[in-house]
Amino acid sequence: MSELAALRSEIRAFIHEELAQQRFTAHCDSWLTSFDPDFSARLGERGLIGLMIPIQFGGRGLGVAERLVVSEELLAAGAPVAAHWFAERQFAPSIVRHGTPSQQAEWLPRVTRGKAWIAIGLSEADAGSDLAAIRTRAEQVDGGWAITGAKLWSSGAHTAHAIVVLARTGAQRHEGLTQFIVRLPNAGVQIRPIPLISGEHHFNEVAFDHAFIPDSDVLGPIGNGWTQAMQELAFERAGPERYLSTLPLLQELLSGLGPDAESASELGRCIAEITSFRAINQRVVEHLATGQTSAIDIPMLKSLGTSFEQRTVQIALDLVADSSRTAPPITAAQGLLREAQFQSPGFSIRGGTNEVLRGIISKGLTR
Amino acid sequence: MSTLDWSQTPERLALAATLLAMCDGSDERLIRALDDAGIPWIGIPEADAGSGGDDGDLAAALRLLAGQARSSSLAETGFIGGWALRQCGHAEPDSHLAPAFDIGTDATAIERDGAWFISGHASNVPGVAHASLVLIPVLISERWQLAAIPIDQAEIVAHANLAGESRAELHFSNAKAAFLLPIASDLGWIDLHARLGLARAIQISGALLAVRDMTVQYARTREQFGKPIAELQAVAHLLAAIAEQALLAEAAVATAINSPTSWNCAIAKSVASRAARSASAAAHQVHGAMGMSLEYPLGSLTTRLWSWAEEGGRPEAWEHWIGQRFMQQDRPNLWESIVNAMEGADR
Ligand SMILES: Cc1cc2nc3c(=O)[nH]c(=O)nc-3n(C[C@H](O)[C@H](O)[C@H](O)COP(=O)(O)OP(=O)(O)OC[C@H]3O[C@@H](n4cnc5c(N)ncnc54)[C@H](O)[C@@H]3O)c2cc1C
Repeated sequence: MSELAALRSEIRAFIHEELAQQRFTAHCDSWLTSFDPDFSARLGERGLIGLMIPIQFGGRGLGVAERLVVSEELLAAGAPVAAHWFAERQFAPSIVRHGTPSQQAEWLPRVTRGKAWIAIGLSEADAGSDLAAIRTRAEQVDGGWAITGAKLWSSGAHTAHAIVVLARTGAQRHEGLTQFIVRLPNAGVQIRPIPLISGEHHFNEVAFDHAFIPDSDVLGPIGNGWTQAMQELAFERAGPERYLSTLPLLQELLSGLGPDAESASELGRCIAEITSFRAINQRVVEHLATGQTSAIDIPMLKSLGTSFEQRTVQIALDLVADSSRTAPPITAAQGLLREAQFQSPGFSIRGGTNEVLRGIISKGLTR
Repeated sequence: MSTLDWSQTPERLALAATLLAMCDGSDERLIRALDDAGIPWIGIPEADAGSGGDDGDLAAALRLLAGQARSSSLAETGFIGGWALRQCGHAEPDSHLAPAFDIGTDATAIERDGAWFISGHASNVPGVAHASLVLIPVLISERWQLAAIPIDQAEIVAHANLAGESRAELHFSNAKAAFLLPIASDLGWIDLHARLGLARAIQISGALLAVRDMTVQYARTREQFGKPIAELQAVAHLLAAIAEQALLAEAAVATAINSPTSWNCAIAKSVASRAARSASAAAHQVHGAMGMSLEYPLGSLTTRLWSWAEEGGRPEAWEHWIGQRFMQQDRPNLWESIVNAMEGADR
């Protein structure tokens, strides 16, 4: 068995075990919405978080292909990975690349144990697609920095141990930005929920009023924040979470169909497309590993994949009767469809809207 | 511009490219030059008087030609016909082949005095103009066999696809086969059809890259309202959409080349065909009236895309086949099927 195949068996065995013990049920968009610290901890105990983190920090020191195997298996299973997802996906690589030795020693082992939950503090009220317009600022004070301003849409900030904040430390549009690890709670930080259209609480407004950050929690060099944030965004955009968010719904739909179902064609098309996204993904992560983060394949994959995810919701609406039903009993398919539908507008918004991505793609093409 | 990695021998590709440039304008000359260089017989071992190399080499050459909207017999004689013969254990470089593997083909065989006689018809057969042998699948005692019939034994109604590429309706009545061979036991008509589909998918992926580049180039140079139309966001997004579809088609095709099961061929054909349809529409939109002019090179690519999308199985048909095959499994698991198929397991 190849090493990748062995790893795939390992993660599948873990997932089967969890399912057999009824420790989780599959959900759509689980990487954003299914928060289960115990699951993350058990996954961490098996050494299945942070495969690329160097061995001396508790990881396995493996490559992008190995990491992709584990991520895609977890997402396909709809496993509750939200607690540690951002920490593993973008915080850890950033710490490996830009962190001080003491930041690495503190955070990386914690990430691999599934015990570091990190929120992303990029967007603001007036800085969405135009991210460089951010106004949250950090002023140098004795022994550190004081941050003032507000971040918006910060997923999981209410449960996070820290939020990585991109803040203004200078006037220049890009070079005036720096990243800070803001530990939570912090006397100068207030977190207010922003309920979603489903009524659920996943993202937040995070307000900073002269929140003190010690020098030791500055991430990377002063003025390097934009570059780092763009690197993180590349990791964020390049994963299977951009086409597998609704896979649990598709799988559930199947169980209600016979082999001669008229919808076999729709299903066949989904299989064909997911296969192609996977093929692109396998190559894209290789690019990331070699530092070619400007490759327009990444935004192309995200734009294609999220459009697909949204289409699967439409397919499901055709197939699932009574999908807007709110009174119990609700079938598994109805439940998954509902959560997918509630989340679906965000597929093509979060992490960069599809319009913005297409702008990046066309710039890359016409440059 | 990045492309998915296909195994290929760069020298052969360079040779094909040189020939292509030398034979600018004349498809007849190009076909002869490719023949002389042995390009259609890539994939047949040199020990068997072929040109060596593998599927990836042939695919790369096929893609190159498609990107230049050139017609040749490379797909028919090499990638489809030559491959089919090899599945019957026959690996000699023959003359040119016309594989009758598309839908609408129906033939029967009877044996008389040790020879086989074929009756029936074949639809939309490519390569007839240059072929000396037609390859047609026949079912004999529930086993698929491949009959090779000399072209002069067929009644031919020649026509052409939307791009003017030679296609023909063939009728046979007691046509004497040159030879008849059993196809590898795990293969049947659908696998030959899928191979035709993969060839067209490869050609589509090559043409899509060319359409992408041509359209980007046009949008950068065509000016309206005092600036290149590429700077208009609506146009820029069309360019991005074309590039996305080209990438998608290429990824699907690469998967099938790496692991050429009929399942993966079906995926490649359906994804590439849908990409062909949507990207050709977007490319025409960007080009305005210019794209509809016969003289402008876009049309020779898009008409091919339109035809290739339908030949060798339309996307709807392959999607149905994939979906049904998937559902017929014992406990169909979407994710595991996808992973297994890509790794070439059990399909
Ligand atoms: C579920 C969810 C979770 C999120 N989690 C986080 C998080 O954890 N941390 C965080 O920092 N942010 C998070 N975000 C915010 C996300 O990054 C932003 O929503 C995104 O960057 C878009 O910004 P905006 O919402 O302000 O939209 P806007 O930028 O105001 O865009 C509105 C519309 O205008 C279009 N538009 C804007 N600019 C252009 C342009 N140049 N060309 C063409 N069209 C354009 C957009 O495509 C969109 O259709 C999350 C968002 C969602 C939906």
